[in-house]
Amino acid sequence: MRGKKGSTLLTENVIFIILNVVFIAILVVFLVSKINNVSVMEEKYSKEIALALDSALPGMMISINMSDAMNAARKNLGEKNLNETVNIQGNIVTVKLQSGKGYSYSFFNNLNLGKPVSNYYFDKANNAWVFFVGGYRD
Amino acid sequence: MIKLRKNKKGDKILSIYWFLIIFIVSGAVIYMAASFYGAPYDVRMTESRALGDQIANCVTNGGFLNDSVMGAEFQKNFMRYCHLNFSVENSYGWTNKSEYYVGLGIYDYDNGTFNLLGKKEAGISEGNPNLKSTWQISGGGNEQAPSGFLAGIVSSVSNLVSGKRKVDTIVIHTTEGSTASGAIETIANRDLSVHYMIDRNGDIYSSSRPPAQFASAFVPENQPASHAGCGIGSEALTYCSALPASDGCTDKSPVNSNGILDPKCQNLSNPPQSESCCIPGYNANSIGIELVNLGHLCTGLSGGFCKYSVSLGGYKWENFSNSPQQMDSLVNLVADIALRYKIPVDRDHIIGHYQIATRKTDPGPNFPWDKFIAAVKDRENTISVSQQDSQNKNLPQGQLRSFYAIDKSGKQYIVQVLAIVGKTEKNA
Repeated sequence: MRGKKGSTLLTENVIFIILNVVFIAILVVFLVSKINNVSVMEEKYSKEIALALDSALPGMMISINMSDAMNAARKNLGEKNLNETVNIQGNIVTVKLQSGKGYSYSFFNNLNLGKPVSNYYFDKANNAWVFFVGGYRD
Repeated sequence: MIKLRKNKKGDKILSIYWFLIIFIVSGAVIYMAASFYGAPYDVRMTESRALGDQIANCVTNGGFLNDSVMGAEFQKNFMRYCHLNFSVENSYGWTNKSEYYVGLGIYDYDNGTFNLLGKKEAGISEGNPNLKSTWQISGGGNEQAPSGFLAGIVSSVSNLVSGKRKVDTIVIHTTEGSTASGAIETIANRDLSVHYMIDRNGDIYSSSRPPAQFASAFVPENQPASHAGCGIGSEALTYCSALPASDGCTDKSPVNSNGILDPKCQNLSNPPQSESCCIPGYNANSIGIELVNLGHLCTGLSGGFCKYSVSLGGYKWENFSNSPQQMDSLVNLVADIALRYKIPVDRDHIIGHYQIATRKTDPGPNFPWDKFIAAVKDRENTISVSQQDSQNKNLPQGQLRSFYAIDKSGKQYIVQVLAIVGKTEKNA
């Protein structure tokens, strides 16, 4: 009788501990996912690139180290697709580090950076994106 | 048996409380993390400053108004001239309205008439006008440059032309002469220099507004002037090299003209022998401002120079209250300099020449230091309003700035630029 009661108590305590651990683990996973959120990095870098281009003048070469973002892109998109992580169309910068559309942000400086002549590329050795500002569009 | 049941019930109740507490704490942590990491990465303020910079650099170059700015062609093709493109959102299909607004006003310096930005008759505006109506500057939408701003921003020209050096002190001098022209000639002939001279009528002479003759008396703010008494750089070191750094005083007779031993010299066991008592480094790190003022009140003029007829101890001094325009200009100028170089407005950083050279007395006992310092603080607040950023993060972010510019003919203008960015989130 006593052994039965003891095992019941032990089971209840184990369940209690497991529930606590699960609860805390969920919390930690949530926090880590928020902190290392690739979407946040996409937003951050698209805006940082747009700001750099807003302040750019013809003749400038801008190099932006994006190690953390590019490492995330390697995991999500593969090594082959790293050249597509930053795209500039017109006055819009799009950073895409995972499957999906990425995050886009506009800049007001009327620079000539876009296709058909792309003046920006991924510098693999330094994990950085490099932008050459050749001139203005008009 | 009954006891055991009671304990078990208590355990269950405790467990419920435990989970409740964990739930509340976890909820709070999740809420904080979500609101912190979930908030947009807000760069609008930085963006609006960059936008303002681009327009300011488009309209002026080194403090000079670009030739084309006043022409109809510039006003018609403002966006192209300033290399701006706001139509991006439309072409991308995000929204029908631009998320940028800029307003540019150029006003006659002498006229002193200020109009609100955005009115077509007053200036140029581009972008989404709704942003302007919702944008708020801290302090209640002050879009009008305060009139007192005028004289102060004269100094901004030399600042724009030259860039900055480290400046932590402003030294007030008096010319001890009756006219500005005479003082300027004396300064130039003695190979001395100052940054500014303010005439009794409030006119400010400087390297950017030089007098017709003897312009070498003025140097721009980015260069040290020879006004404090110990020369510049190595020259200052020669004068003062014998000093312990902590003493910083040289004089064979460290008594000022009022017969008072300078406190800076009191602890010197062996005062070095040189012409004047000085503290090294003041030329290097200060801006010198001369006020046209007789200093010791003279009984008459002799060839433009003051004839002193009273002896030491019996001096009378010209009163600064006789030239209120001069004091107004001084207050504006000092407030502007202090704001730009982040110099504290107090008697440790805004000083009289007499404080760093015992042979000197200027600006004299009649200079209203307390009133002057209070006025500078007051004016500094006024100036900073017109340069203030918007504060309410829930509204469009922007910056209004006002600055001084001149054209090639020397005509002076006030330029106002308002740049606002309205966008927050834009997921493609």
